[in-house]
Amino acid sequence: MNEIIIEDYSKKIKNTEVLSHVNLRLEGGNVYGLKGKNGSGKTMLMRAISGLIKGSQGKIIINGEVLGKDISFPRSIGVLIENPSFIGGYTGFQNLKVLADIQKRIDDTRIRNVLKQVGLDPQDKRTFRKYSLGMKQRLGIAAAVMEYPDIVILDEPINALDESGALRVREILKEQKDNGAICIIACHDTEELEYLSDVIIDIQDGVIVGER
Amino acid sequence: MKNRLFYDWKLMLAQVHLGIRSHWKWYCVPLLFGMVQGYLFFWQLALWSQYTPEIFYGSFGDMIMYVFRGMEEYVPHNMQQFQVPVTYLLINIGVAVFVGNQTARDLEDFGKLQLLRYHNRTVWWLGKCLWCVVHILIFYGMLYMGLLFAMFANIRHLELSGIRDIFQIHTYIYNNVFYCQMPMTNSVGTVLLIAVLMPMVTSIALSFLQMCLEMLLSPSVVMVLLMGIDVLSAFFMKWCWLGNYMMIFRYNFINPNGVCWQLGLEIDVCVAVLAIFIGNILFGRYDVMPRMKEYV
Ligand SMILES: Nc1ncnc2c1ncn2[C@@H]1O[C@H](COP(=O)(O)OP(=O)(O)OP(=O)(O)O)[C@@H](O)[C@H]1O
Ligand SMILES: [Mg+2]
Repeated sequence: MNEIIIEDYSKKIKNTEVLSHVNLRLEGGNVYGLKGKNGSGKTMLMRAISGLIKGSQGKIIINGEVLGKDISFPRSIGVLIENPSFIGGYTGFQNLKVLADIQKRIDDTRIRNVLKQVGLDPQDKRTFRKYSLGMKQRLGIAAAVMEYPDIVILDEPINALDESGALRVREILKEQKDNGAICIIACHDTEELEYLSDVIIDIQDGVIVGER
Repeated sequence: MKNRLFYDWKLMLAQVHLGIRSHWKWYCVPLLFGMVQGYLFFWQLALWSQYTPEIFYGSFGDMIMYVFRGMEEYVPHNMQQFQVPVTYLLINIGVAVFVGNQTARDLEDFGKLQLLRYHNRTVWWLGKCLWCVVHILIFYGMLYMGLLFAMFANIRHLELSGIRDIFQIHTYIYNNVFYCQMPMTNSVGTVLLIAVLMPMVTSIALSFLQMCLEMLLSPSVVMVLLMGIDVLSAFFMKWCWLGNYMMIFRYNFINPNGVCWQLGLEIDVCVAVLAIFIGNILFGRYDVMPRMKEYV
């Protein structure tokens, strides 16, 4: 089973601790919802698990391997962090294709299916530059989940989405977690977050204050 | 092991391909720049041929020398104003703007998604370095295409008795038009080779340095630092200021006190290798996230 263990992890940026002594154990098949005010460190924690930032203390162990020592990045991860940005001159399909070609785990059919799943038309000839905000967001979600990664990280996935988009996110998260993935999400809509998550993690000024 | 290397190599090539393809429209900038420079050259030539009829013919070799001439040594006590050679500066800025947008800024965008799918940071970094080399070759290639275009558009100024004529250097142009004494102890072939090769190699070294520094400082700060190097190179004719190797008038076959191209090549290679090496270490501990505003 997939498992992330975070041991006494801290991250300092210019003398301020943005994450402070985080201890967590995350298991596959669950959706973890990060809850906290603006600037509490939700996105930062997601970056840390992705291997994008280096901790100043502690370690993160993913399926038995220490991040930053045994592996630079989790072996199988999909993320949507910050506003999704792709290559402006490429269509949605082309963008996903470029990413899929790196690890070659999935074929074109899967890319088309995932596009449909998030509610985008695979045949759409419009380039990413011409996408609306919500469409960009949908493509970002598609890129994160298309390869059935062990870890799915979605930072405010329903931010720019309409109602149907939000419903699709529910379905997608269900599918991914049934696949055994560890899903980590953040969202400012408390009701939606409670609905989506199996476990809520409360975070305040970089400190984990509660888990339920 | 061998498979792994092959896979990494293909990832790097894919990155080069993507970097070039997603920005290909911008390569019309060096093309246009080359054309403008070519036309400027022939325009000056035509102007001077009115006064001095002996100066009429130009060649591709002359154009290359013209574009990469830079400036003569600046001697402060001559009461002359210090002016940075515009062409030289524009080429440097052109290269730097392209490169500056590719590493640190790319990591805030699409590069982040790519990076997560690579198994290590080094492959990504080396891919960027490789992209940088290819990019600079294309950049200069387009510039030369622009020059060629201008040359064929001004064909009456060419001596067309043989292909060698296109590559000769008319020293009288420099002695009369640009007031530069051009004794030229080296053969024309060597001079042209240096004029073509050294600016490219120096640009590559400077760009590697730029990418490496971007791991520590914000892209805009690095840009300013780089322009500082360019300007100081114009000010001081010294071996340690890399910009000198992009200016033909600074070489010792024109100015006896000038810089030596062999040394330049060695320094360029050293800077490039060091920048790749140090850059790799820095990127290994680089935090991939948007830069704070106060940095920019
Ligand atoms: N790029 C950055 N450079 C330096 N500090 C940062 C950066 N991004 C965030 N921080 C700091 O890290 C802390 C946590 O920020 P983070 O983005 O994780 O908050 P968040 O919980 O995701 O907030 P939000 O709900 O607004 O998305 C904040 O104090 C912020 O000032
Ligand atoms: Mg956030």
